Amino acid sequence: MPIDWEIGKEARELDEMPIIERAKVEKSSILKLSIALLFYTLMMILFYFLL
Amino acid sequence: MKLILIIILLAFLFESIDSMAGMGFGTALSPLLFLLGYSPLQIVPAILISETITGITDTIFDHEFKNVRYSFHPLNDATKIALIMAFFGCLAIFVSIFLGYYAIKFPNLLIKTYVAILVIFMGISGFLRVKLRKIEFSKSNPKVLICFSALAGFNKGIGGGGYGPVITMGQIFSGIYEKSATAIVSFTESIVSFVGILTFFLISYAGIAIDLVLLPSLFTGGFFAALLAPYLVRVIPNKIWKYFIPIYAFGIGLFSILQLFIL
Repeated sequence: MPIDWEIGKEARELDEMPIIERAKVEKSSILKLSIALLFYTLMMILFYFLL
Repeated sequence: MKLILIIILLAFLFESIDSMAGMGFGTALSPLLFLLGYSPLQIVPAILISETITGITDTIFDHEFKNVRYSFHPLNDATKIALIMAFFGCLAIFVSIFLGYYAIKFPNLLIKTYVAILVIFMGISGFLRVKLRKIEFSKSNPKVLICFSALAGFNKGIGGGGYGPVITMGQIFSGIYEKSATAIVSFTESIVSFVGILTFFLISYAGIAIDLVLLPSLFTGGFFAALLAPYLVRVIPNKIWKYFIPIYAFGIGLFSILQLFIL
């Protein structure tokens, strides 16, 4: 592993932007959040039948 | 299936802080659940299953919100570090099973006191590191990170806990950006928790009954926290996390000491 690793490079770049920019949510993120909520619903249905 | 409001709220609170600061879910939540009257066989497997799923969720959204970027083909530094730390965490689980199997017991009070003092010391060092930034207290150093991963695994393996605080602070001391360090811990913890679940399934084959009554509530609170926390990590500036993480580590260590000697 290099001594000057690039971990967090994009996070550092985002931190230099104003808070309004950082707070913006992209369309792909909204889609992933919707999939996550669907996953939660399916898990709860699974728990309902298993537990 | 039973949903318990107080458990949902506690899981949401501690998983949010755990995802943002890289520590505290097990250390802070478990004693509270004991106080509410639940047994270790109700608490530990439910926490492990919940941590595995919420850890994966957290990892996906930390990547999505650019707190850290993972790549498997080829492996990038963040993924390598998560896997190295997970290796030591998994090794710790096997060591603790081995010690338990041969009934080798270390003095519990001494080990937990040592880990709590270590976490307090790391919290203070982390805080001083931020305050003394001008003299370049530390530079990026992968070897330091491997040492801290081994130390965290060793502490966990002998039953002292404190895995999250040691690997989070270890990464920060190794020069990793605070936001990325806490994100990598979530990934690591999901792998280590998964190995922990497998261990519990082996135990259940040996005839020990596992009760998952807390799972739906812990999962509900933890899951929504794992969706919210990566977004908050992205929006809140890193200078806040620089102070919050070591102060919270100090608080966790202090809470452990109080729990051992006073509560």
